[in-house]
Amino acid sequence: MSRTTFARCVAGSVVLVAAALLVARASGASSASQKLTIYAVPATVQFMNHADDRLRGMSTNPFKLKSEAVILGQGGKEKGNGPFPGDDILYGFKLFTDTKRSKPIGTAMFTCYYQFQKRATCDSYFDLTKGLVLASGQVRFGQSRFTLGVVGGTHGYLGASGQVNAQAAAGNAQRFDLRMTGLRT
Amino acid sequence: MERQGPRYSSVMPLRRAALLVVVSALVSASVVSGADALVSRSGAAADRRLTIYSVATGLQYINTADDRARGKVNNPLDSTASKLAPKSSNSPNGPFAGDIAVYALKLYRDATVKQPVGTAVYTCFFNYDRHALCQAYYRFKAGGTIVASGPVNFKISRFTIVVSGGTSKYLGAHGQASAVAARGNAQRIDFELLG
Repeated sequence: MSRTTFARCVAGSVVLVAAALLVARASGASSASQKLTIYAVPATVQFMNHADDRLRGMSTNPFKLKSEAVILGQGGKEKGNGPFPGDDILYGFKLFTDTKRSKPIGTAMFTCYYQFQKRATCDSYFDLTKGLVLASGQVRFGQSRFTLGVVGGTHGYLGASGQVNAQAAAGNAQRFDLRMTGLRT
Repeated sequence: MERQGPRYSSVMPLRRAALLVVVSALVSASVVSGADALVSRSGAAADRRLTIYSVATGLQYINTADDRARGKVNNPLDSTASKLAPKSSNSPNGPFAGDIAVYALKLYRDATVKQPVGTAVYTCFFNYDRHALCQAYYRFKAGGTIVASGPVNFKISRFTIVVSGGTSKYLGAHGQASAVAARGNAQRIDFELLG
């Protein structure tokens, strides 16, 4: 082997070793996925009726809109019981890992702000033993099947993104399937 | 006269090779060392840590007692849900479910709160047992905003919320913000930003 060839071999080896070390170090901050199924039992519900704010907003507002026809009936009263735009409902849940609700895993809170047609934007958080998961999305009043987007998490769920699929479960429970990606390992 | 020039004896290639290996090892070490710093820096770019101190400068409390009372009588809930109405809080002044607190804060670089770096606002929507879902944004004078939200237990002085985004310097930021009480009325906030 000539000196030049030998030097090239050594230099090549050095570059390869350095590159391998870099890759090894860089791969240290990898991400992972996780699926988690939890069962939620409603614990508290608070309805906030903002009828006075709505009425005030109909007469005094910065827009040139007439929203009375959408919300008010013939007698000047609101049509039905809502929820109407501006109302909000706070749902508190106890969370379990099993359908028998014998293994508690934390609590969840949904704060739902209503728009038109009884649809709400719900901001939720799942306070679990390993950390917090935040999810948001649209939920129609009275419907148990919906999907939320996971916007993040803390501690064991740091860096989380993904979605939460909700559907009715046995009894008065709600089943949440959390599919999370981007979890920091 | 013996020729004065480079003499390539049979030993020389080995010496040169040994020298080359040593130099290579040093280069390798320096590359790895540099790589270490690079990874640390790139790690810092990807996983930035930022510590600031906040001091509250304004507070507005929104008492929604009338909406709560109206909601007890006039609501779309069925009988099962109506039975889950929360019990009254121990504190006569709340906070009660549905109340809102808006905080304005100044942000500082140092614990002595002398070097201002920006402002922040927390909008906290109370639910039960002195807990609230708080939505926060931190605006930095140097440019950029961090947006975060999450539950805060108002019975204790520490909380961790989710960093869900940012702008400019913090574009695409994700991670968490942990707050603990600092000296005086200040609060220390540690951001762990993943990207």
